[in-house]
Amino acid sequence: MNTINRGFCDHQTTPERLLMDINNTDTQIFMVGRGGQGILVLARALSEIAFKKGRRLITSETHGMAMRGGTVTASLKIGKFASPLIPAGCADILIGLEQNDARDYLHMLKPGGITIVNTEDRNDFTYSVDASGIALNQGLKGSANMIMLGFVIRYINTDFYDACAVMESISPKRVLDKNIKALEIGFETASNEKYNQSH
Amino acid sequence: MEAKPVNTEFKNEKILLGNEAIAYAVLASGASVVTSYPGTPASEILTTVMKLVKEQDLPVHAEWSINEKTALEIAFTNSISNRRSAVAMKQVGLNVAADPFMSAAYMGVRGGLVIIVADDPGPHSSQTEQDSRFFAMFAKIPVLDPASPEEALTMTMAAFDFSEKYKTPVMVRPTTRVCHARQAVAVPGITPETRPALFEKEPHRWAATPGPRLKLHIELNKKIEAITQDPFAGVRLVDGKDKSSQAIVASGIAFSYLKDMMQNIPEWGNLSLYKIDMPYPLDPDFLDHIGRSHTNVLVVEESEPVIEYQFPCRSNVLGRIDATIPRAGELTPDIIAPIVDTFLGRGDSYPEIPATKQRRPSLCAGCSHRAAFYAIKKALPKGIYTSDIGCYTLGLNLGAVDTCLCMGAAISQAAGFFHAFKHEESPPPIVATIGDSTFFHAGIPPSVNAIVTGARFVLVILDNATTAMTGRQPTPGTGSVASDFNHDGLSLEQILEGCGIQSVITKDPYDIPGFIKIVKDAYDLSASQGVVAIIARHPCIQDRAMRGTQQAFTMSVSDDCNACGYCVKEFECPALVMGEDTVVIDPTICNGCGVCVHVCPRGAIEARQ
Repeated sequence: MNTINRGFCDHQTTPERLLMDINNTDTQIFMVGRGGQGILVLARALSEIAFKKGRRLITSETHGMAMRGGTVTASLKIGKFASPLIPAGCADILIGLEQNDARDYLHMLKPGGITIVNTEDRNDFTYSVDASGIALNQGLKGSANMIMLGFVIRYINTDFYDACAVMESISPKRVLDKNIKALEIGFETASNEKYNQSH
Repeated sequence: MEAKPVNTEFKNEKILLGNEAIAYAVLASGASVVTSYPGTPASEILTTVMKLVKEQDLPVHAEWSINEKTALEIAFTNSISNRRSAVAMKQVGLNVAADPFMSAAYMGVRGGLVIIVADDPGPHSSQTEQDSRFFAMFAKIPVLDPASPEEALTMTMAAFDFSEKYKTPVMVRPTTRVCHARQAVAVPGITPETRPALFEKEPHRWAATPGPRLKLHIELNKKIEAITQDPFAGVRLVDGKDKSSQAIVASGIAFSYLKDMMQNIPEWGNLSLYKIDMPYPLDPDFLDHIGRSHTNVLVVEESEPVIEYQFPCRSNVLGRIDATIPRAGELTPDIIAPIVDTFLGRGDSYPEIPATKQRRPSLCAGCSHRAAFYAIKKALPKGIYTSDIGCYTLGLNLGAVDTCLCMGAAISQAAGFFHAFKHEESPPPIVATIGDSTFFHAGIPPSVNAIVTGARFVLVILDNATTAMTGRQPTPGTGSVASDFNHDGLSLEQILEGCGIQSVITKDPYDIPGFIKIVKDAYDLSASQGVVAIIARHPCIQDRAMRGTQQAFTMSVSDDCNACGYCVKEFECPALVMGEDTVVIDPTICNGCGVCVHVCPRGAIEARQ
């Protein structure tokens, strides 16, 4: 995996840290996808989840023209950070809503960092989830981001109901049920043995 | 100015976007008029103000003004009526508001006036990387440079007091990474202003002719000099000793990048880090002191050398002027780190970061602009296509946009091309495309101008009943632009006719064959009538309520597809993807508009109800 040590983050990654505990550990999560896939809602939900646990955090989002189908990135830094941007080679987790975009940003990961990517192919990512496929089959078109969120929270020491409460507070009413259903499917998918591959 | 420390015991903490934090600050400071025109990265400021005004039933007049000039003039006038006011815009919006901005500095204010101008280094979603702090210096208006959402809140609140202390407008200049960062912020309580409106007639100030203007200029110079000595304007040494040999002077988001780096690289401890909250006006004596106290000084700021230029002596000052720091593009931790390392003589080798393949943005699947652009190309394939600022600039992906200069220029450039080519043997057809919101913003004067100067072209208003690119704000055409007044919206047809355009044709561009015909007809008509207008009317596909009422077809590609790629290239819908043997419709993206049925030369795209 293509990673870069640029000297300004902690690079000690032990096997235990593969499951990030966002309650206690400084965690930098980089998210990337195509404009319209819901990267910003995913980032917002994760930041509210961390905030509920009493963590300091800062995020960065892409708005504007890129939201029309361009490459959209978001960063979430949990811990006492001043800057919203994650330096290359410092992300603990990379969440990709689109596999080509995810591959393009692998240099953001620290050595041993985790990749969780929405893709129908099984490949070199730490976790591959066919969130778009599942969403389409379940009549949840447009909710792949919430399936990914459900999957991710399994690995960052987060209670499913905490995540539901956050979605209740940030979702527009008309999509709340759809979002919770997608969240649940993602959460269940994560407990399915076949996804628990690691490298 | 000391940024207030975070009060961890503050119960009312919320995660706020930088722009939301600014909105809270504006209302908590008692602003009674807040105005804006949408533009990334500033749009969410007024959206949030509107939301809070509604939720808390505040006696505040908030409005999406027709453009930034009008927005600033309305806010300024509330301020000279002794009430607090704020106006928010993106950096190129200040170009539009430059006229009142320059004069407001001379006249000064009574109630606090805070002008929030969001810069977009990168640029991510703008025409230029201009640094509004230079504009503040140009006008002689103090400017604050917040480093985080939290500081955007505290600085905006402080800016109101400062504005009243010196009777001057104050600019707050966040950048994209502050506007669109989220952070836990102690949310201040909102107490509405109770000051009554009071306008003291003072014609030599408020209606000054050139003579008194000179006096106002002299008064302004005195204000600026006094401000450089105000403790609020101070430069703070936040880290290191002022005797260390190396110093970095930083402001805004660049300071935040440096602060994180300093925590992680212990060797950087030998460095003195100065933070500047108010990049203009700076006390030249203090800058001189910094220059003399250190062997070398590196200035890190976004996005032009505003602080750097103010150093009285720059012989040991490094930064953007000598290109130690790149002279264009956004600063990031990855760009700053190797520069600081070299500055400190550490000489660490930093591996190069691979370039990322940025996916290009494109009009949404089902966007009516795409249909209009495709029809315009088919109707007048040899045309020159002038266009404007908005989602529809992405018509360039279809080859249907040749120019995009600035707000409203589609129409003046169409006239410009007409005059440039009118003596040629066969002048090309000219088609101007402009969105509804942009037409209201800056399209009306050039329309009038085109008519009275004899220009001939087809003017297409792409009317999707919203300001789409910036997050679907209302327009004068939709109404509901003010927090305390209901208006049903003005008729584009009537306005175009009022501009002197004889023929105004309204048509839904989803009907591609019909739209091609009216574009051809309009072109023929323009030979005798000059400007002929078409209103391409179809609501924005991002409007979910509308999408629910629009028929969604199930699309498929038949065996007749020979993978010629015509639809992918010429129609450029993100749902049409080149497969191995045929074009494939991506069902996760397709909105079922059915327009592409008209596009395939072999009729291989099929729509089922």
